Amino acid sequence: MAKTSETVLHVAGLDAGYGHVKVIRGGAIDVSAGEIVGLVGRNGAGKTTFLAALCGLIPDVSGQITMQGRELVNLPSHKRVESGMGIVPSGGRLFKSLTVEENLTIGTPQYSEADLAPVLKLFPELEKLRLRYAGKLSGGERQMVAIGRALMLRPRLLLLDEPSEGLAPIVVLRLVQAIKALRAQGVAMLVAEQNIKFTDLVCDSWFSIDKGMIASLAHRPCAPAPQTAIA
Amino acid sequence: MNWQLFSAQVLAGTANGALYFLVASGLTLLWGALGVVNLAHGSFFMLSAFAGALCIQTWGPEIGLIVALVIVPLAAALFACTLEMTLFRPVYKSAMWGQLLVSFGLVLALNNIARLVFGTQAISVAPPKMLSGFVEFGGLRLASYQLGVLVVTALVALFLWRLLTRSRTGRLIRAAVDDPQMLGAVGVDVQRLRTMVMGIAALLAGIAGVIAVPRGAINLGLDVQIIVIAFAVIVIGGLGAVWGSLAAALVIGIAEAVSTMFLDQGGEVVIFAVMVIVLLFRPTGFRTIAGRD
Repeated sequence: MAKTSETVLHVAGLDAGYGHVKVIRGGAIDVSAGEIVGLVGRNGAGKTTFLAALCGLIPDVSGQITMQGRELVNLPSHKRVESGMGIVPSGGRLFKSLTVEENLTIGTPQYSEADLAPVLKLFPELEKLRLRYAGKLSGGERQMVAIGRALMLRPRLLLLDEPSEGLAPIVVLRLVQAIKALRAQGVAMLVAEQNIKFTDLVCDSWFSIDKGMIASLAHRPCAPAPQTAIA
Repeated sequence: MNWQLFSAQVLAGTANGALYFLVASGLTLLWGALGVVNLAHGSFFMLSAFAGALCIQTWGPEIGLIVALVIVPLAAALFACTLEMTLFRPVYKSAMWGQLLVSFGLVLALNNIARLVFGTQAISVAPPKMLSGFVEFGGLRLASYQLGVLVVTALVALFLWRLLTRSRTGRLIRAAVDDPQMLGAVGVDVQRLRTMVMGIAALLAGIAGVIAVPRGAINLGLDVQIIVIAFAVIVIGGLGAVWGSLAAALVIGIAEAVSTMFLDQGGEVVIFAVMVIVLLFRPTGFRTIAGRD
């Protein structure tokens, strides 16, 4: 069991954007082992850009991104994956012309049934979809495959971008269940969301993001009433 | 209508189309999957044709052609991988301009190197005896060289199909056609994949170059001639679509060859006429990449 005080991800002074347009200024965030951190903000606040900058999906990034003592900011995406980072992008971004199984195993050159087992245990729904093309999945199924695809790489930190977006409430609860199961296994998570009910259900601490500025929140961003209503 | 002539033209067109497919399929993969536009792809074809002619001059029409078919495509692949790692890699950051300038520079440089090494005279070599005759089939006389081209192309297409559907590299290429950025984020070394696809593309262009040798008249204009046709094939077939490019290449090849029955010159105009007609009805070509803008 990992010590909760151990920092998995340390971000400081992060600037990121597209060309001359800076979207994120001086972004700073810390995630400890086994902790779920929420990053809440409205549409267009810079959540996706921030996560994309962390995992190397956008090129114009400067600052400090440290994972377990390794500086990542100048490394290509696949090196960041090697050091334990996994991303579940908004909408899943699955490879549409590949099957579910091909999507899950895309990053693992050699795999056996045993490698797939933990993912299929977490999402038994995927078992019967293995040979289906990813372009033909529902929103919830896509999200499960996207999470599974990231898990196949055995991440220590999972970045989730709007995981609840566009999903039916019952599917969202299914996702909450899965995320909590993953935390129990010691996977740390950074969840970018505009649905604060969702972050309320799963997160241990919160950051807010607005116009590219990130600030730490001492309390959960919404009153506890709706949370008890859902739970 | 002279059916004998017509069928001969259709076969000649199919054989030409097969060559276009071999060149265009690699280019469409490289561009569609990994965003690399290599104008010098046609130069690989031309250099391979010259190298193939050299092999035949050295070892004779039969053995020379077989040796060339083995050595030249491999050499082309190795050469392309080297170029990718040294010249292309530094310019990917500067969007498409860097690639266009570097590869255009390569077209000029390679053309001049070919001029120095092989001279300005078009080279024609004797085709192997086995491929210089005709085959009688159902009352039609079919050129055996053209049938040979089709056999080789069919084998290559089969290899390509196996590669794309069965191998891990193929899976990565298909994934890259869908979403190249995301590949890195699932732990795939996209840089290495680029080098590999560049090599595979050059391998195909190399095969095309060698089997084009018995047609004769290997000259310094081939590089630009074939690359322009290859881009037309890509536009008609749809970017990143290998089988779209097969269909497009055959349509273009046959249209071009059959048109010579009615037009005295200007067969290449027909290629672009076909392109215009296809684009009128299907602005994105035969096949489009799903979810790509």
